[in-house]
Amino acid sequence: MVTRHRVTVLYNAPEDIGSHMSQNDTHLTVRGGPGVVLQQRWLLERTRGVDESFKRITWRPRVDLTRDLSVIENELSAGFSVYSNSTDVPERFISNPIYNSFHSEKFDIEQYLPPEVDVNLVWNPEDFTYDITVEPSQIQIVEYRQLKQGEEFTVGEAKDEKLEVGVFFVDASDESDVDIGGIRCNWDMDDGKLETCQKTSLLYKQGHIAYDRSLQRTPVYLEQPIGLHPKVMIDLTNFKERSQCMYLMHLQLPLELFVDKFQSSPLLLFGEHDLELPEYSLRDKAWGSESIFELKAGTMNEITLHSRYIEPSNGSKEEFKVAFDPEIIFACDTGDNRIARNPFYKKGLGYESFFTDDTSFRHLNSTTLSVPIPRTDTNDYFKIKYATFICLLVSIIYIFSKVFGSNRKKASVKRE
Amino acid sequence: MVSEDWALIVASFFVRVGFFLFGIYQDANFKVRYTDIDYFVFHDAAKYVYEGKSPYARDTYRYTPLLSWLLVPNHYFGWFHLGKIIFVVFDLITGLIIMKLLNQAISKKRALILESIWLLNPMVITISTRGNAESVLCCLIMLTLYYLQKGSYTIAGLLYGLSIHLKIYPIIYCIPMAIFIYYRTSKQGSRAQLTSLLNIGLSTLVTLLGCGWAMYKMYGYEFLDQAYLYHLYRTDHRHNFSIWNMLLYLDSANKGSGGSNLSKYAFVPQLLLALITGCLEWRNPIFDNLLSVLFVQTFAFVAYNKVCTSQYFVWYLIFLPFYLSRSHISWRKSLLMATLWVVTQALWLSQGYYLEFEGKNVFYPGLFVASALFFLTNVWLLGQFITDIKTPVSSTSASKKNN
Repeated sequence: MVTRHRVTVLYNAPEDIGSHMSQNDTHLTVRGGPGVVLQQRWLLERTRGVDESFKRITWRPRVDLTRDLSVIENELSAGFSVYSNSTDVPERFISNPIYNSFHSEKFDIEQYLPPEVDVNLVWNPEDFTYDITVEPSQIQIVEYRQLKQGEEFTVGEAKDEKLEVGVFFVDASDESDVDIGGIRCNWDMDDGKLETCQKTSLLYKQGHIAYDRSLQRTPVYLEQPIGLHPKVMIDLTNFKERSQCMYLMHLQLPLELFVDKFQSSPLLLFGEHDLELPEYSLRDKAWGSESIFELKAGTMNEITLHSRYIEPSNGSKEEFKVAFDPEIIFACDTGDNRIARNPFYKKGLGYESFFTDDTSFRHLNSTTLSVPIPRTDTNDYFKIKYATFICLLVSIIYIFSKVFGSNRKKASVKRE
Repeated sequence: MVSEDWALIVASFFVRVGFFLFGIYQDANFKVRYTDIDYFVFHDAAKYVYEGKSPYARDTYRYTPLLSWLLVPNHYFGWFHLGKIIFVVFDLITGLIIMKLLNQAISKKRALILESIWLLNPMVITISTRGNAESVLCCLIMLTLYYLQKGSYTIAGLLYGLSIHLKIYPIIYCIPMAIFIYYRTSKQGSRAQLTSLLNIGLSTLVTLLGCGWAMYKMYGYEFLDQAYLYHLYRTDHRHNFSIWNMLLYLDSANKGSGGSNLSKYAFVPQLLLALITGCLEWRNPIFDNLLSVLFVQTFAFVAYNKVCTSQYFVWYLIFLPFYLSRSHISWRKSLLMATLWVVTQALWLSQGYYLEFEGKNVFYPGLFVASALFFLTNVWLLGQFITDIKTPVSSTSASKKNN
């Protein structure tokens, strides 16, 4: 079965292409530089089976949140996420009317990727971002990586693979339209030789407009001190309302934190939102919860979360911290359904599937927040147990002596 | 009622109005809300009822549906705070019954001071004006005792059954109440004793089982589970005043791996002490003593409960004026007792604040030691109360009182 392999490299300027690219009969080499991004995409044909469900697996390392994304990238949620519209809901997945989802900080790709995927991929969760779509007839694996100064990437056609490489620069881009130009090269499948390279220009609309640190900043922080009810503060004082648009916050909260839907009124809330149970009683049921809040422009927004009681430590003096990555998004109806897909990514399962195809998502921040959660120590268990027991025993003996013992003296205070 | 009584009631009413209005202002202008978190639960549950749904659609609604029915006017009139006024009315009625029941032999000045313990108590006022429903239960218990004193056992039983339907704990009062009735009717013969006890017992069952059956028909097993069974299997791992709290937290996390069974038997000392303190009515089976015994019994029940928050203190606070009206404890000792209770509670609250609002890890020793100190203080107070109500009244003072 043929695998279609496409490599896209994006440089900042047209002159970078010539100076950073070299080729021979069979291989093409690109060299890295500041802001250079490389995307690899593999398309694998599948034999249609009985399973007609769709699945999407995404991974974005948390360190990637500090980077400015390029126009060929989809701003994915940090961490490991699995979305599926299958009717079977696996253990610890949470459900909503559109998909079931799982979210974790651990890159656990082997467990969720179909067994037929064998593309000799070297997974690198520390540095690379992945966006994988499993459809009934094909599997698409997209990998993003930075190509840093001094790094080289050489590609040549492998067996049973149809290879295409595009090397581009950003010609022009604004809020919605992107124009990139460059060259595109193809390989001959029979002899593995580089066949032709031709000038190419692509014009497309962005579904996701990446967070741009050089523009307006959106401070997102936790009110200090952080107690058991951490308050997420989102400063939108410098933003204005716009028709057909909404300011939103998307949260994928680990089990240790939760939203009280009666207090905070989220637009959407799925997953584990029990208001009382500790984390250790729920961990087999769900990974956590997913929610979307509507925010107000021109003001400071405040969303109160709550932390669950967590398992006592076992002698560890280390503070337990749980992290999450609130995504502040400016979602707008554009009236143009073409933004749902472009040559580099398309709309898939995840929070974006709650919106119409013509919705664009401008990302206004990329922040990781960390909540310390106090916990007791099991090393104190016996001290607490015996102290409780002694308190109770002494108290019961004392009360019994008071009830059944005789009073030493009569009332000394005169009654009226 | 004399003019001073009316003045106290009017003052109580206006103080409550002040607290109520300040609560609305605080909710609108301060970060920390005045309205009790439970009031939001009642209000939301009432909304479901108003829409023809079950109040149990509201997470954490763990009460009889009757409470949510009480707040349906909130949604009919579209005013969030209306239910608080209902709770304040119950709170004031409770104060009126306290006035009626308070020993007539004490001086008017003393009676006014004791009545003020309920009517002008900031803690009581705050609880009802914040929207906590304890005042409804307090009112029903007081009405039960009012009719019990009047000898209207059927009405007392009906109200008592409703009280137990609202919250299970007043069931502990059945022992001292039965002892009181048994002795009160002893002069009329054993047949009258049995008839009176059957009368109040059956009428209690009528409302208790009747309401239970009606709620079960309407809301099914969810009603039984959420209103009653939940209180038996709940974990209670979150911090509260109870001495059991830390052990419950650790045991709930250590299931099957070295945890103890001690916390599973939390109800044993509690019920044992509620039983023996209830039997103190036997020593002096008169109505005034019954009210003091109920105070001591409730105090013991709350002190040993596996969960204890400030609202539970109201459970015994309704009996405090009656207890104090008969107390022989000197004012110096009273002051010491009150100081210890306040100081140990404040110590716990400071630890609770560090944990809850500053996220500091004060579970051990801070919070645990504070819980233990508060518990031991409560136990010592309980011992003093028991000694006090066992203290024989001298013939001089008794005759003065009867005069």
